[in-house]
Amino acid sequence: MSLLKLAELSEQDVERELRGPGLGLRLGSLRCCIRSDTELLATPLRFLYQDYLVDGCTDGFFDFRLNLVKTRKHLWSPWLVEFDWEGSSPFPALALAHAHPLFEWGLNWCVATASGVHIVIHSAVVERDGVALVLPGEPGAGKSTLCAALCLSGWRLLSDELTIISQKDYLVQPVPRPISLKNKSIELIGNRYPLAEITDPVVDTHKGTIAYVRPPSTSVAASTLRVPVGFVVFPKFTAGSSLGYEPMSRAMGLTQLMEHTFNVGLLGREGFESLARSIASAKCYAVEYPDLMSILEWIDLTCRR
Amino acid sequence: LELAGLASGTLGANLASSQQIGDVVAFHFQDEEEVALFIPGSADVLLCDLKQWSQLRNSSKASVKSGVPVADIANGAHTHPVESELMVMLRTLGASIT
Repeated sequence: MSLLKLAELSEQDVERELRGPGLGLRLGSLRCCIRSDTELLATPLRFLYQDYLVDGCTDGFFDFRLNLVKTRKHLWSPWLVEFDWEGSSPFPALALAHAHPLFEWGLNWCVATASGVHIVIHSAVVERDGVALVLPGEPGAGKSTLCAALCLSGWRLLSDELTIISQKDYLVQPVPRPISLKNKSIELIGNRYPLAEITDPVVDTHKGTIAYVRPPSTSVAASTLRVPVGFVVFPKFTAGSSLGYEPMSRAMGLTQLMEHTFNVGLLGREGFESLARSIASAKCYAVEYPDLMSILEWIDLTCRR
Repeated sequence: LELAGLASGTLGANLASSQQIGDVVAFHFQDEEEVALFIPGSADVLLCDLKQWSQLRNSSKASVKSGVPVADIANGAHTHPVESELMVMLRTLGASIT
């Protein structure tokens, strides 16, 4: 039996599923069941996840069953939203208006946790010519903005947040999801890519104003296609600088990547060696850039197979 | 660097090797001068060059001769502070902690 795409459900259908048995979505190889009574998820989910396949939530195995619940301390208190994954949550309750960002942050946490047997790196990752470009970076390095720009320029989105590498064959496992943009990046990407499909901004979150770019349909369709790491680029945005880059040894790239890896401490020697082998054929660079245009040009010229 | 534990799989075959002394795991990529080091117990990550790694190995062997049970080193056991000894050696040799 072929599965429906979320776009084939009406918004009312999505809301009914969220309030009822749950909305089941396939995220690459992961299955997720979402419930919510917030009335604030149906619109962004149907828009952002329109190309994802829908599973019935009444039975079957799901990697995670999530619930975003409306709550308030007292009758006179403002409504909040809580994220719940089978009884636990890493987040405090947030203002109800932040239900959708909370869902995306919570799902990131679930994907990272559920992928614990693999190597999980805090990094954007995209693909072209059959190899992955891994973009780790400190907050503010501009990796999500860069990831959005690359995906709107023909690169395949593997993930804007988590690079998941199998310890068996050292290939990157895609989990394409909406790309998170913050503050000035929203306007930057909107202006540069007028055809980009971006949600309405959510203001006053702890990260500032947040909006999400819909993942390209082709990336979602190819979400089970795994690829080896071809390039590791550590971007650093510095306003007013000129673009500069430095090739890095793989040993140096490995030690830097370890700093961005969530679970290699838990995986121990095996994880360290797997991460090393995953970049054995990769080229590593550190890049300082002053604007989006300059690093896009540099990547286009340099990160070619 | 001894080529113990050659990489397997479709990627990286014959391009890289790993080695362990005590609790320090070293990874060396072919044609590179630097060696990445990892200490699983503390999750510390360091970078040194081949010369430093060679010195460390020799120092470690000397340390074994001076009384550290070989099995403890081979198994990464914590009955003797091999890890801290190696860490001190690494720092002394100038390995950079990332």
